[in-house]
Amino acid sequence: MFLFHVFLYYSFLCSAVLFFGIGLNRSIQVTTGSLRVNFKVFFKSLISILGTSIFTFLITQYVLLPLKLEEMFPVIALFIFLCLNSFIEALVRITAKTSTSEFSISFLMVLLTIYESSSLLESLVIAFSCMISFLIM
Amino acid sequence: MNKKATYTLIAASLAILIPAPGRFVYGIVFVLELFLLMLSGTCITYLVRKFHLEEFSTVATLFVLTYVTILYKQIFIVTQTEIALTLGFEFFLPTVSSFIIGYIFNKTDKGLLPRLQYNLLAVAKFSVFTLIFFLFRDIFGYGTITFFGKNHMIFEKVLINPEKIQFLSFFATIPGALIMIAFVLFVEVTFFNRFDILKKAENAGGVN
Repeated sequence: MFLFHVFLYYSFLCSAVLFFGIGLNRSIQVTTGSLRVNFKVFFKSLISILGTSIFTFLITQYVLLPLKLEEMFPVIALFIFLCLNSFIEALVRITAKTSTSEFSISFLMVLLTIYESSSLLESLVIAFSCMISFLIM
Repeated sequence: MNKKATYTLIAASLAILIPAPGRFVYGIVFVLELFLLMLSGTCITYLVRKFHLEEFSTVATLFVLTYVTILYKQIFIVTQTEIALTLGFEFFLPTVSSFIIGYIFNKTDKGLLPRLQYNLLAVAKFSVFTLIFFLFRDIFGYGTITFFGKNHMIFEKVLINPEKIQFLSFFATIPGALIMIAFVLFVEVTFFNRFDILKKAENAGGVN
């Protein structure tokens, strides 16, 4: 029930786009494209955000936090995100022949997810909710 | 004012100005951060090109920008804790904004100094817009003026009785900020377009 409330909170009540302003400018640009391309962008971003959130959360929790270096997590997030994004973009190019660069939105959503979450499952729910709020826009 | 400049201004406004609380002190924080990011970003891009490491240009620049933002945030955590606590991850909004990235990765063969001059001038123009925007929201939205204070707190002075400006508190909200940005942009674009027309007319007159 708690996770459902978290989902509702970040999807509708405090939408990542409208409340935190993530991707407010890009949402205008993305909506001008075709529906098929937009869904591909959505799924590609969703996979990279979820993957980056998981790895960043685990590294922050078990490596950075014991070393008291938790403020350095954006660098780790950026590193993981760039690696994962390059891999997924290569796949997308091969299979769907589309190349997208939604770097800023995805990176900010990962940062928001890690900042606001207290467990791995919660971070996944927040990341998913952020993408849903972006999709709704 | 050309279309590209207008779109950049809209994108930067939506990405940086809207999410932050409408207080003047946050405007100053963003302005300082924008200058710092543009300075470090331009220098690192120039160095990467100078050493012919273009393949690593994007990654190196993004890492440097992230490091600079973390350092900037740490300075605020130590000196102005309340601001750092309120802004949280919003420190990273200018880092990945299209405004900073667009100017830093702008392909040009100019040297470091002309490039710095061009980029910092763009930040200076946007800073004026930012400061006016935050100042207006602070004074008329909240009826206060804020600045860096002592003991890690924000200094706040009440200028107008909040009961007198209740109808203006709409500008303190996000929809109010959106409407205000639209209005300021309209005024700015109209002003610059008129200015351009006058300039063209003067030039035409000079030729004749």
